[in-house]
Amino acid sequence: MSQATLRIQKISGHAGSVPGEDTQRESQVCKLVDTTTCIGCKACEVACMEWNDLPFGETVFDNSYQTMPETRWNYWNLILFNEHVREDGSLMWLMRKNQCMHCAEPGCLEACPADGAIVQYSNGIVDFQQDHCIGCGYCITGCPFDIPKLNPKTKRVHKCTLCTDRVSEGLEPACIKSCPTGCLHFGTKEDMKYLAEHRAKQLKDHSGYVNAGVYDPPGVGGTGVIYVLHDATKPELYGGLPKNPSIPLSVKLWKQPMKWIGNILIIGGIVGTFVHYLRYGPKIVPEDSAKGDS
Amino acid sequence: MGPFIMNPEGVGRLFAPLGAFAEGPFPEHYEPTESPIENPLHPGQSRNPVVKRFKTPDDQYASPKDGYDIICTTYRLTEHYHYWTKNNPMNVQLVPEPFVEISEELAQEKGIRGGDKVKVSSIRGTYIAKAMVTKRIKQMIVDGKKTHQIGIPIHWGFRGIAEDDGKTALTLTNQLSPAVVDPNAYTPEFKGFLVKVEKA
Repeated sequence: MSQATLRIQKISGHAGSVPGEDTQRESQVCKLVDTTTCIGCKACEVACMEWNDLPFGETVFDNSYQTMPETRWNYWNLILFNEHVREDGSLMWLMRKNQCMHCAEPGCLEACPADGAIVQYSNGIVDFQQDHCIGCGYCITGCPFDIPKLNPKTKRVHKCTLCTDRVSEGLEPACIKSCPTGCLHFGTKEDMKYLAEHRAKQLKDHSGYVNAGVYDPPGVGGTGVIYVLHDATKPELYGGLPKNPSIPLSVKLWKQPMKWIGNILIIGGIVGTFVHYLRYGPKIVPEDSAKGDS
Repeated sequence: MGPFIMNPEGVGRLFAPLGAFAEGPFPEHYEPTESPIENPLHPGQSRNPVVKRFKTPDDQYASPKDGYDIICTTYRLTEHYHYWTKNNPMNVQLVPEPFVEISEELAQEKGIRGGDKVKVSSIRGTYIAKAMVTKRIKQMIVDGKKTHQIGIPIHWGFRGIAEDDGKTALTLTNQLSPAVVDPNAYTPEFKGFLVKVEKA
């Protein structure tokens, strides 16, 4: 019987320390994207398609190095290319790997009405279960990053899984494995946050990026994908990364108060009808009106 | 005594092995065979005198006086490998079609918008592809004159996914570039030659 997932904490008749005793296990996983060292080679895009066995799609030349304008149901990982002219006239070619952010408070999950179609694992990965998806597309409305995409043929919504099949076996996601510049990192949320802050400080102190910082928006409870940006005060420059993303108000209202108000109104209507029946009895059609019709 | 204490004369030495360079003992800057300017260091001998050239009727060279006044450079993309990967659907999905990178200034001058078909011609041949108007290439001032540069990724040809779908004009970058070879390293001069650009 395999006991690979069980850890020993006490051993009988054993002198010395117990290997692995008191190991702290931080379960929250996180992807760190350092936009300052991305060279836009698209290796992560290829790795994503290859590992997840996604079919090839048609693309057209669009006056840009970007593979396609936005992610598709069968293209989960897309580097966004943006040419940005700074105030001093110098040019920055900003590249940001765009994919599901795996929010701690996911708007998609909040908006989803289908039981079990979206789950959040204890390690923070937000995963779509296409078997339970009803194709309503409410997750698309609920996502502040515009990530989930509907397959119009099967009416199922797909997005980045953070390679759950790899991560559950202790491997890094496919995109991380393919990155040639070390711009992508994977580990615990704690470690990645430390690494990101360290890199942002380095950029501030030594590279002249005074506004360098980490993108881990609190509006969605922090994310499972965090960015190091040259200018954290203007995340919009990186292909419309929202400054303060949050779950849309309509989704919040609909899932919280409106749901209860609706339920009360439905039950109230039934109870009211019943009370009316008890008080006034059934409706009696006057006989003369029935004659008038014939 | 000078700072170079290991040399009897106390100063540094330049080492130039006799016969290692085809054009003389020391490296020297020469303009490319097709250049918009004369060599500012020595206009009397602007080009490399011992450069190797092919001598067929197709090997002709132009100057700005003939109307070829835009510098063209060629390069490869990270998404493709030479002419092989234009047959691989994954690479073709990443970069589907051939293109020519031009500056915003040149695009404005010629009335070209991103995605328009452009015809690039040198005295040796023509190349037709869509224009990518970008801020990354800038108009330059060379020897006091406004000079434009364009860039062409080399990866397309006669056969491939885009070619077989009829999406390309089946023109070759190598039809534009000169068959001029450096006498030392035998590197061809495909990084700098003269063309003109017009809307196709």
